[in-house]
Amino acid sequence: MKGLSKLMVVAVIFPFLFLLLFSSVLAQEKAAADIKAELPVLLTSCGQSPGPIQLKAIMTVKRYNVNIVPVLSLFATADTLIALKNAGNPVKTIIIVTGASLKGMGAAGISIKDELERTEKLIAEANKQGILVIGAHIEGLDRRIMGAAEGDNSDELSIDAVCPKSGLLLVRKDGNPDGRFTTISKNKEIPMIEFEKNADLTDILNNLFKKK
Amino acid sequence: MNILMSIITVIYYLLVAYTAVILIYNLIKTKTWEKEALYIIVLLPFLLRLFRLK
Amino acid sequence: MADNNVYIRKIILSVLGFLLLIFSGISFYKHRHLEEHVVLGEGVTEVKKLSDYFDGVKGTINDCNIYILEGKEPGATLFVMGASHPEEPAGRLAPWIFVENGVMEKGRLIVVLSANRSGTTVTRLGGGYPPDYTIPTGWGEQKFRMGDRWANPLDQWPDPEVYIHYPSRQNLAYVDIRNLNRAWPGRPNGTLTEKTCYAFMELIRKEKVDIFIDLHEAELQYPVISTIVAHEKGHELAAVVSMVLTDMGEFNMGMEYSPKSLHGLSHREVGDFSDAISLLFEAPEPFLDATRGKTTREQLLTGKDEFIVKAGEHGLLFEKIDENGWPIDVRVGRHTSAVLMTMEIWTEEHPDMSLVCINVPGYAEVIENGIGYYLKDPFRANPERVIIE
Repeated sequence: MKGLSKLMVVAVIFPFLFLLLFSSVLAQEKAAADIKAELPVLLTSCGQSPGPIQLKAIMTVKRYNVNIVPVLSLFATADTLIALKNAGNPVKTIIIVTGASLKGMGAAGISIKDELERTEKLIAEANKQGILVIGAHIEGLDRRIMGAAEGDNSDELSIDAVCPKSGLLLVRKDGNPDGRFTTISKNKEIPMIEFEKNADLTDILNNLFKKK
Repeated sequence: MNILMSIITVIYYLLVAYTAVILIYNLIKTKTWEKEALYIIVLLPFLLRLFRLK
Repeated sequence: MADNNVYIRKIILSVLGFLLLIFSGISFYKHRHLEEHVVLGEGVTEVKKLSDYFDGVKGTINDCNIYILEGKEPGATLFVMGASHPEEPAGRLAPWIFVENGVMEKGRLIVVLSANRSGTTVTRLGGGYPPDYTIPTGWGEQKFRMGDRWANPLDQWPDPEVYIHYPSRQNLAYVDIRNLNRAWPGRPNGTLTEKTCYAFMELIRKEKVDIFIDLHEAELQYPVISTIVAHEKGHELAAVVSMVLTDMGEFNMGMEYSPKSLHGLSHREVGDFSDAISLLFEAPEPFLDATRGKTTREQLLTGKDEFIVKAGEHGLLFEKIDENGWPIDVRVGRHTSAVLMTMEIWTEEHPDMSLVCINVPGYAEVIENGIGYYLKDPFRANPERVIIE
């Protein structure tokens, strides 16, 4: 009898837990699908990887059929947002591509510390202006474990600086094998859109910036 | 600069030849087989460079 | 009696030393003078010499062949350079396939197989590298010179204490004065390597090259690997090429910026000193890793190495490796596919300046058939269409 009641408890609790987990994932996905971003969109980087260039290419080249002209500013600061607002062209969405490039930062003569400081101020100003911040990681493991030298955690620092403070996460699946972004998404209740291939961004961006 | 490099190259090859001659002289003069083997091994890259083989 | 023994010993040791000298000397001589045959494919319309663009390299070992594949229809001009670093064989074999097989339907392709020809005649001093390697083909074997990262010291000497790059005056490692990919854009009155770079710059300017691609290989312990390094003029092109190649699922291809402050490299200086977009492609080559095991022909061609696999287990690599290694077919296939994809993406964005090349195998085909399948038999070819590289 005792065994039976234990079985019943398991039979009730497991489906419940499964449903809870599944519904939370579903809710995240639904929430992500519901999010609508507005133009103009500013593309920038935290870590100076070429991700923003890739994202810009997806938005502009014919192959991907997105046809959005973003404002590309790899070193965008809070002042950039203020200046655009004062010029009567306020930014409505910012996509910050995470992932560090020593080549990129070295070329600009900056360190990851400079990047983190700039990004913190940028996000603070964006929040002040009510701009949607999208944290993106689109270069897979090249900008995670595989692309980093031993002891170099700049990729992870850039992720920490952006993703937990974003309103939406855009993550290529092969960059999330350890569930790092999934954890951020769950813990901070940030909707996340995961995609397999860069080409999938065509539909994602078209849906996100759906023209009215 | 190219003229300077040419002059240095000529001096360099003269030095290589001189060192090779010294090594051969020492090879002839030495009495221990370890040194003889050593001189021959050391001599090889000098001759290879002198004959412009490597 | 004792003196006699000493003399006999000296004679025996000297004879042994002499034999070593003879055998090594013959090996080095044969390496330096190994004739490689190139069978011109039907797409090759003209073969020029580098000295046609700058006579300062005339009569030097670096006066290499320039293969021109003129398209049936006009379009853009793409320049693919191999053997900027001759110790990276995939960077030489991939353009070889273009010369022996490629036909341009639209646009023009310029190919160089031995950019640093001097560097193809020597291997790393003291490195115990194999002097050559052979690729099995349907008609036998084709032998290629294994090369070095730097020009042969027999052709350019001496090296300075510090190499001061021209014109940036950036200080670089002394040995890199013989490194073709540290001497761009070169100068007409410089060293042999600088003159060679200058001659290529003249070619790029005179032939109005639109895109310049420098093919390389990299050790797995080097962070710039399996990637395209792009000058800012080529950022968008490189971004799309890398994304499309990665999306295709055959192999991963990243993208890196060409640093503005790092001088002498083709991806920086060609873009800065000409109108061309400059790109550099890197494929993985375990042979170059310092932690490799035996430095053999087999390792060079199979890319298999248990020591590098071990390094990977300790997280010391920037590219994956397993017991299958990185075979030469895979490395060459990466390059041919990447070059073909560059043409395709460029053409999509510039339909009036198209680049369309046929008969060149992509990644999957090269792996399936092997490189040898695409190398032509020089002894059966029309002798007028056979060139010594």
